[in-house]
Amino acid sequence: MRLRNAFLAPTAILMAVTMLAPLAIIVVYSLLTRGAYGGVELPWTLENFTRLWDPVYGVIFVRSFWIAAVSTALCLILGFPLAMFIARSGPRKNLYLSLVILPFWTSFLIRTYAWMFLLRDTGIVNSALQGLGIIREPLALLYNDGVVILGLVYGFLPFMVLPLYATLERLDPSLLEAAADLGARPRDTLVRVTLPLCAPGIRAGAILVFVPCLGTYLTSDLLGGSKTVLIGNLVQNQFTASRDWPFGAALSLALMAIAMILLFAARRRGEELL
Amino acid sequence: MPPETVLQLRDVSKDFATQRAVADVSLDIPRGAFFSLLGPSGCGKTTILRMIAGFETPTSGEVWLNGQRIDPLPPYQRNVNTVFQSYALFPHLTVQGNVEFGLRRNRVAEAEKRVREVLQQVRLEAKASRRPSELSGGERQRVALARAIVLQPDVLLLDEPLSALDPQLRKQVRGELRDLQRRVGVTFLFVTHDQEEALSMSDQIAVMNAGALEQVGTPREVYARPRTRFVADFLGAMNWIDGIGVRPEAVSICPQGRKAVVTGVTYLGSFCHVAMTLVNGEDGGETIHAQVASGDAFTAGQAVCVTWNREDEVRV
Amino acid sequence: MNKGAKRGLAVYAVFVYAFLHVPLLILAVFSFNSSRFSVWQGFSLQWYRAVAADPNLIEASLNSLLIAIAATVAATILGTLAAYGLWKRSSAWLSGSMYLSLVTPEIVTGVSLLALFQWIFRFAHLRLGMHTVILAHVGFSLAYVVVVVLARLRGFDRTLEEAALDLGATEFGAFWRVTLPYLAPAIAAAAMLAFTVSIDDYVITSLVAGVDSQTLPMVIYAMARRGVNPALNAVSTLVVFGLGMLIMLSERFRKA
Repeated sequence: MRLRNAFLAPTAILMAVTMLAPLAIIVVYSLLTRGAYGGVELPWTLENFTRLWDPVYGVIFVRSFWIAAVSTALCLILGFPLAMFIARSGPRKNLYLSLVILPFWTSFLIRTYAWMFLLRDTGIVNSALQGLGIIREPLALLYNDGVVILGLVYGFLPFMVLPLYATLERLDPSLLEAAADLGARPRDTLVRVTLPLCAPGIRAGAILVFVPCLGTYLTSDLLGGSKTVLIGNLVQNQFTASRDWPFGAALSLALMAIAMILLFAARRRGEELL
Repeated sequence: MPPETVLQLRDVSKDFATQRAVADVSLDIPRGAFFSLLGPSGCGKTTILRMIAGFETPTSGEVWLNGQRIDPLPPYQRNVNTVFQSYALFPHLTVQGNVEFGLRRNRVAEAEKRVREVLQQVRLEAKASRRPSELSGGERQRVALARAIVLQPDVLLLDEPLSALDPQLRKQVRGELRDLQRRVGVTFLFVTHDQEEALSMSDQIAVMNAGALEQVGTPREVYARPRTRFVADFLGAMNWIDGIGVRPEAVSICPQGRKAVVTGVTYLGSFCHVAMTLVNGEDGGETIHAQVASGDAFTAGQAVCVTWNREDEVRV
Repeated sequence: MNKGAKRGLAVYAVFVYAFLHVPLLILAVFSFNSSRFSVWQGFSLQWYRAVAADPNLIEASLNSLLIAIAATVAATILGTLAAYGLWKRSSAWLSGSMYLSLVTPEIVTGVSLLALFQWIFRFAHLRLGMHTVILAHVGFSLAYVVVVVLARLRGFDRTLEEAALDLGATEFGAFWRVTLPYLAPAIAAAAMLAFTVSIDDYVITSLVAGVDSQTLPMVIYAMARRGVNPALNAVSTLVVFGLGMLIMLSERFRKA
């Protein structure tokens, strides 16, 4: 037991310094007033939290939710058949699975940049379309909600495929045979057997995609530009350009609270998401 | 197809990548029978079942059900149902949900009443709202049965349904299964590697070996009149003397007959097993076993005589 | 499943795989383009030469490597020990803070660390720099290491350690000679994960970095914001290729 405590001590200290102390500071800042030259001042106030209900920010929250929800749904639509394909591909399973995991190991920033390169006004898609004479003026493909969703789906698809694959892989094939044996057509089997049995995987995948999408900063910053401001960009803005740290802190706490509520709501007894 | 035949296999073969699992099997299964497919593991009996259910497609040959060719049909269009070896109960559905599964699609009138009846038949009406994970092995097996017979299949396919039960329960379930089959009148095609199971339950037994059919007949026929050496050996212990088979229980030890020397006595509770070596004539050195009521009179090294009735001899 | 459905699924999978991999492939191909526009004009290595001649990029790369190696070593060692400690007996608040660390959006982690550092600097004569970046990276990599190592420990047979103790090993001896060798593959995987998470991070790093601690992702970000620059394609290709090689090497190492 003494060994255990010695082993835990450095990590406990580090977590306290890099996770809990900053969080405590954020909590304190969220209750203070914005300083004249940035920073924070007394008196204590709840105004930063009441400001969250301002419709100006409400729009941003709704938009963030919407974009995260659509991205999650698209990941599910793209990911479920893919996971099914991998789970049923016999000895080549591992190869196909690593093809999904591979992009996860390469830089997220660079993968986001790849879409900027493809979609910008002078990018390859516009050049190709112009070269083929289909369009005359370049299409504005970047800097809209759609391309942010594209970037998020591209970035987080592996997080959906992995848990889906894990549940599909464990699915007893004789259950599918039993369904067919009892008269269920393939579509009925999918709806009445496969999907319900994959519910834990779907829930885990949805949470693993939705939560980071909701708090995204980089994707919306690079692909959405100034037009697509999401919660993450709003937070960053308060700590940099606007220099309104107390409000930024309140926004951060709101974002974390939403994430935690979603995580607890999605948890079922006996199930571990992480 | 004769009218009393419900299921017919015509020269059915199945090749897998490296081997022939089933070779030219033809079978007629009479309506209402308890029919067993008996053979060692890997003999192709499960493959035959899976071809009838529709999970495998025959490489050649045809499968006919009620005068209709069914081998090109998908499983969900065949009026046969399977009790899986692992039972394959849907873990996300209750007992009731499992039993209703096939009915929902067919929109059978009075489905609810039928489900209740069937659950009653397998004595599970009190557990209708339980999940499979909350049931014992025997109860799960009965859910698997109920789920299939509620659909009133032309043939019920049972893939070693007793192998997952513990030995005590297995013997009891044999009788129950047999009674259930009589009561509901559905044709059972029962796959097993256990000859005792097949002998005790079946109207007819088809013995298989290495993908091919060895013999089809009543339990008495295949046991007492085996047509091949494989069938004779697989259905029970057999002495082979000069190419003629005699079952140990047909051998009696008496004052007159062939001379033999006792080599060992094994006490087995209700009977005794006596191992002997024949000493006279051309049979010298051959081992013969006898099953006797009491082995008290015999010890190793003792000289005895053995005999048997000619009608108990088996020629293959 | 019938053949038609199977084929449909395979076609679908091909499209999803194309979606995942083609953008980076195009990026890599155009890094060898002799034109600075998105039209193929012929093979050239000029952008790679431009990258090699850019002192800014070289310095940022070295910074990134230094930070990633330091953070990986620290996080892997400490995280492994912590996973072992948590496996011996769980600790609600420590597991809770790990969980929190994994689910906190990067931007929130970044701004809260920034707030903490600024607050500390009121009392101490310190500045943002390599040390703050490394501390932040160790902080957010730790949870990944703990999760990966703990997953492997869950499959470990406790009686093996008891056997070692029974044979006369000390508590540390049992850990060192029995448990640690069993954990080796997970530790390697955790280190890989920590390294890639660290070397790729932009959001947190950009908030806690000082003037002397520009990292490669920060330079890439700045270049991407500025607009068309084929040199960025070359940098990207090098990074992706480098990480790919590293993963393949570690896979081979793991299998050996």
